[in-house]
Amino acid sequence: MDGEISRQEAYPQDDAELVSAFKGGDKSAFDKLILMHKDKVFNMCYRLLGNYEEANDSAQETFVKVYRSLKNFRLESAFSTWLYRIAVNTCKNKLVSSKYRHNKMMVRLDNPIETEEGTHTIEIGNNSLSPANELERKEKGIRIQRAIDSLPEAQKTLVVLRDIEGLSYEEIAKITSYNLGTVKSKLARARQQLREKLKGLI
Amino acid sequence: MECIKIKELLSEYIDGTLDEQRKALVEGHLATCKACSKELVSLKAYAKQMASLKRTEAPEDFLKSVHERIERRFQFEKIVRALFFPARIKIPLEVTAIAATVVLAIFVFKVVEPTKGIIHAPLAPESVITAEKPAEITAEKPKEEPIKIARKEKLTKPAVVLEEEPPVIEADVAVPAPAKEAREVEEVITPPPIPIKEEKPIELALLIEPEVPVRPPGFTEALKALSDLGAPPERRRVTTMSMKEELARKAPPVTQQTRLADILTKVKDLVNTLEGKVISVEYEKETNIPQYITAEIPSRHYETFLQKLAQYGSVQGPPEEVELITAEPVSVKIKFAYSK
Repeated sequence: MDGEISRQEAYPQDDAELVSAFKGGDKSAFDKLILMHKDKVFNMCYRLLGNYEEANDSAQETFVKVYRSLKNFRLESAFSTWLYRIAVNTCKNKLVSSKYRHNKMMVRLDNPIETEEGTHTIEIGNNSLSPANELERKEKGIRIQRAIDSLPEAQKTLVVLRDIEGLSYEEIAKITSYNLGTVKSKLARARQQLREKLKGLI
Repeated sequence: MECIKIKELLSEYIDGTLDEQRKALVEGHLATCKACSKELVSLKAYAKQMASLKRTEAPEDFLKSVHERIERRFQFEKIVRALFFPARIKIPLEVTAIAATVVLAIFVFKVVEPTKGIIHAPLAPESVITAEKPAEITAEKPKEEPIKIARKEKLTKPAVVLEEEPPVIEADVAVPAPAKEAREVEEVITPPPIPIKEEKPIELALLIEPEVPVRPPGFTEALKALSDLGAPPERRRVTTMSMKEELARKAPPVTQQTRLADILTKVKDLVNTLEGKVISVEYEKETNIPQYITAEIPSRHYETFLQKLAQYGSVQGPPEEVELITAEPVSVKIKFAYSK
């Protein structure tokens, strides 16, 4: 089985210290926060948007927003929760923009099979994959991503946050503003739908 | 429990979030239900697959890109602020401009109002003075000749004017005041212009030569009678002469008065003929003989006036060169006098 890729975990204590340092005037603390969270945010944006460039744009925008608001952040919730919330909302706004939907359609028409993952993916663990397997893996990944892309926004978000990013129900509830029960039921439904789309693939 | 309900719980079951009671229920069902067990396997595979999807990392220059984006945003907002903040200033400036215009308008308006007050301002201090000393009103009043002449009448009237005129200079109240004064002036003398020119009238003296008295009726008979009485011719001549002188000396005031009245009438007629107007006549208090006549003569007729005036007597007084403002009428004051 493909090695389980470790998900970048957040360390709340470290985050709180860096936030405090930034408020105290240490601008480098912000850089450290970026370095600690950039990949998770980037991946999140990528899975939500299904496009590398769009993900890059949204991820950068997320941290710009963080920079502008960080001095007012009160640490009532974990920094990561606040960060992810900004990222999700930024991607959400992009998803509904007509320009994004147009570009996505054009890319699909021009490159129906070509991977959108680019060259920035990291293979962690298994290095024994043959090129054929590698191609198969990539194709599988594309199809999964397309299946995710086809989900309604709310279900997509839940699937990405839970099944891809591994966030807890509680954190998902804080990020999405759904209550816990809604998160559970919506997630169950989302999984059901995605599995239907991926029938035969998984 | 039915499979549908169990399947609904499987999602939570694989996430380990079911409470103990429901977890037991699911596990109990799964032990006996192949379909639900198969479903659970499928679900777990899905979860695994999703968790193992390749993670897409941020590009290496991500931090730099974020910094650049922040800088660009800052510069952009700076420009926007520079554009719109001046607009915000502009608005206040515009408002300020409008406000300044309003203030200016109010200022001008208020200047105009106090100007009206200023016209009457001289009256106000005078009112303060004259309220205490009504007798001095005529002396300090704006030079209105009617006041000089009808002093007695005017003494009371200024007081009336002053009472009506409030010490506070207000346009509303001040405006009717001059109109009232004008009316009062008109009552005294036939319409003089209120702002009486301040120029001193040309003072002339008309020396009236005593002419051969008109012999009273019966004088000739009286003279003949004396001659019939046998007075010698020399005596008659002397007598005649002395009688003439005596007659002249003994010319009764009535005769003088009559003569002056006659000349006054002629001078008045002359003034009117020359398109001038008689301003005033002053009489001696005791004798009531005309003493002065003040008139206005159009400057173009002034020369003519002097020539004609010479018919009635010797005109003395006018300087050789009189500055005549062609547009302005000449004011003359003629003193009647008998030459001896």
